[in-house]
Amino acid sequence: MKNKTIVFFSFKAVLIVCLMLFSFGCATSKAIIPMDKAYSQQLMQYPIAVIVLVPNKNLFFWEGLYKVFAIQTISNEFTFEGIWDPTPVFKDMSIQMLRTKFNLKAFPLQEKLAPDTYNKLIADLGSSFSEAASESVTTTKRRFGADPQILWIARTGLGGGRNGASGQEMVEYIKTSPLKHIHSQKESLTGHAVLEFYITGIGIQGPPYTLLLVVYTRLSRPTDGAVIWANMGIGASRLEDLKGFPELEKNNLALLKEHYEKALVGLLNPENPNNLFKDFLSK
Amino acid sequence: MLIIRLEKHSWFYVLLTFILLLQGCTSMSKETSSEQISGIEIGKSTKNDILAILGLPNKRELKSFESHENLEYWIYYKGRGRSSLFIPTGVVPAAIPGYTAVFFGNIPISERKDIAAILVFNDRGILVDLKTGGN
Repeated sequence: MKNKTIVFFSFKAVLIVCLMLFSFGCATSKAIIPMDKAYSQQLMQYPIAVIVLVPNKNLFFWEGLYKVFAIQTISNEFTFEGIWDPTPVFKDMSIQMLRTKFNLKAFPLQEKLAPDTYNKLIADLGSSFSEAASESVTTTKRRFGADPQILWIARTGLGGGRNGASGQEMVEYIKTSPLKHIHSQKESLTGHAVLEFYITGIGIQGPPYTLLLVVYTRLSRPTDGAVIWANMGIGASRLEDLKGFPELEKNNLALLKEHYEKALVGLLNPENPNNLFKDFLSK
Repeated sequence: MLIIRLEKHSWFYVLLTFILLLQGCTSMSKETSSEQISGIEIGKSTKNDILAILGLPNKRELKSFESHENLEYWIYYKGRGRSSLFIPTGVVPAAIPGYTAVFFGNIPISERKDIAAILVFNDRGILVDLKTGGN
């Protein structure tokens, strides 16, 4: 009988290798909640209030280095809280895309609410999302251990609930009506739709080094809290010839910001095959 | 567990693949050195100066005091973070006759949690205190 070899990988190791070898820039085939065709006609009349949140203000850095008979992985986490706010660019770009590519009446939700009310809403929605993320981390820790790479996948919902290993909690959150949070603003938002974007993760992985941007989004109707459309997407920008992590931090994070914007354009432009607006408007 | 069955001698090809993938990769993680820390001035350096010298902190905390003073702490850890080796951990005869089992595992080799520096900023974003690891 021929002697054959069986190779055993732990599932955890497979996940790590997948994270390393692939940039996860692949498109998801269908939106989490596709928009109903009838509603997409009505939406043209609705002003859309846009809100962008960053529940996780950490930058995850991960590299896999090929060694003799082994792969060494190095992971590190940095915080950009209070140092860099990625939301204004996101807000401007998403509003511009909604106006120019979809011909919708989009505007920042901030313009509609008093500053205190707006800040409270940001805090409430952010903490609700963080609860889902923390649940995801707890479940993942129990199943796969406490590897930083795996926990990052869990916390950002990178898997989008599709690989069975992470992201279900975020998917459930995004499918749930935000009515309890926006109910108090029902009057001021009547006749509007609210589009929430959650930046759940920004990470650098490689080589080849790539910036990944993980975003969850939900469009809802404040009058009854119905979720009209929901999705998640991953933007990616390749960091060609990156010499080292400190290069990203030079000139007040110039290179990091540049690649964040590149990933964002790819994610928000409906002409890009991997865009976030899948099943958004039926044309 | 995921089981991949390979033909005779194919483990050799698995190892060969690893060798071929050896492209002289070197880590590009950042480290916080004492030389960098020596370029920092208490009472003068701002958050932007620190960002230019040390880069992003690993952790940030805000603390309010009875004097109504709010302080912001930037914490930097030593070394390059957590490192693991994904290696073949064993080759043994498999339960199935005629098969050999090769085990791959993810072995943690280091996890950095030692603090290299804690920098404290006041409300105006000026550095008011600096503590280095061990202090």
